[in-house]
Amino acid sequence: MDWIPRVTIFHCINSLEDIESLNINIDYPFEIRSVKMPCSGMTKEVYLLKAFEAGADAVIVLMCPEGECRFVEGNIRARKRIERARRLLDEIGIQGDRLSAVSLEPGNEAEIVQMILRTVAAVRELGPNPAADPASAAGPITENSDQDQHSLTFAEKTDDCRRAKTVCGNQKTRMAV
Amino acid sequence: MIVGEQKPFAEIKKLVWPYERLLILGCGTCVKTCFAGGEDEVAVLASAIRLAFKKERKPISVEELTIERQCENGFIGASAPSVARNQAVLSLACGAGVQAVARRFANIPVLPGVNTGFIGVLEKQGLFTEECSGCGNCRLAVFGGVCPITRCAKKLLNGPCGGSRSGKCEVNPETDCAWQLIIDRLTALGQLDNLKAYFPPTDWRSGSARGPRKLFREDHVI
Repeated sequence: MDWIPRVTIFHCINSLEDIESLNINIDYPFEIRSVKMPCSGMTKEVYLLKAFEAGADAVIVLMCPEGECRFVEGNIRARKRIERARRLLDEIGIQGDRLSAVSLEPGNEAEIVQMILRTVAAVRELGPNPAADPASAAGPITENSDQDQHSLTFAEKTDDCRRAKTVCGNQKTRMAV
Repeated sequence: MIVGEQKPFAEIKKLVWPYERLLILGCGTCVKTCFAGGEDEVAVLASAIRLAFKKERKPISVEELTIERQCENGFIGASAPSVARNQAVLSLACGAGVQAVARRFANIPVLPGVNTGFIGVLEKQGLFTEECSGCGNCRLAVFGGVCPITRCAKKLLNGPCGGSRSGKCEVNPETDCAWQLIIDRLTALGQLDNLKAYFPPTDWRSGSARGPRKLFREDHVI
């Protein structure tokens, strides 16, 4: 069955202001959801797992390069949590390779686009998230589909989450299952 | 505090597999501090269990709750409504907490999700070390605040074994030699004479060798 891959990207706003600014051209459809974070150090294992519960086929955490985090060590902490979550995903049986951590210089939008495209290509190889609820999946592409197969589907996009809170309320709501 | 770590996910999955309504009960004291059973760990495990069951297309409802302490009946009571809604409880407390919850709720399986380790301290962020064996006869005043029963692999009370190298234990080179620490500490305190005391073979009955222990405080009993 063909299906529309779903990618959720958690991004530090210092590494990427807004995913809507990206210019993505691709010859097959996919769906991308974004969650803004004031720092990648806000990454928690449960957010990553809940993204998969919500139907993501792949999850990317985009962070600043090591040594360039405004909060000094947020990206280092994020990377360690992501590694732990990857191991847990392997234990669950839904492939830790679906979760990736990417460090990129701020403003390097072309590289971010390439990274997203590489992720989509990789997830097409892996296939759908085996734990995704069929009812919430993006669904197969049919001949009568209204989907523009050359366009990027911004299925959901979070509002700005810059309000400094331990856990962004918007993020919590977004990730609730 | 009691230090423990969550069981491997595969083992937990096997424990909870027969059930369709599960309460994951966290404990907000010791195991929360060592990242084994607080709110965050309950949430992660709940999500992981849901994903594992969804993958197998097996229905599961997971309720999450963390109470202040599972080793006190007064706090356990707060979980009664949640326990009543579920078929099993996966407790993320230490072994004492699991048993206290099981004692309170006789008609529901209470499963352990944590392997209880030791009485220890948070040495630095993310590192917990064993410091106390609960021997029931504390002699830390003599040994400058370093416990040879817990921290010496050979539990020696009358001086070092002679096998340490560069201040490290010959049993495990990553462990500081307790006797090196004791001597350094007593030297700094000017109390090296403490080591002239002779300790006869230990009577372990004050510890766990006599079976489960009880502490009764008559003044607190009405």
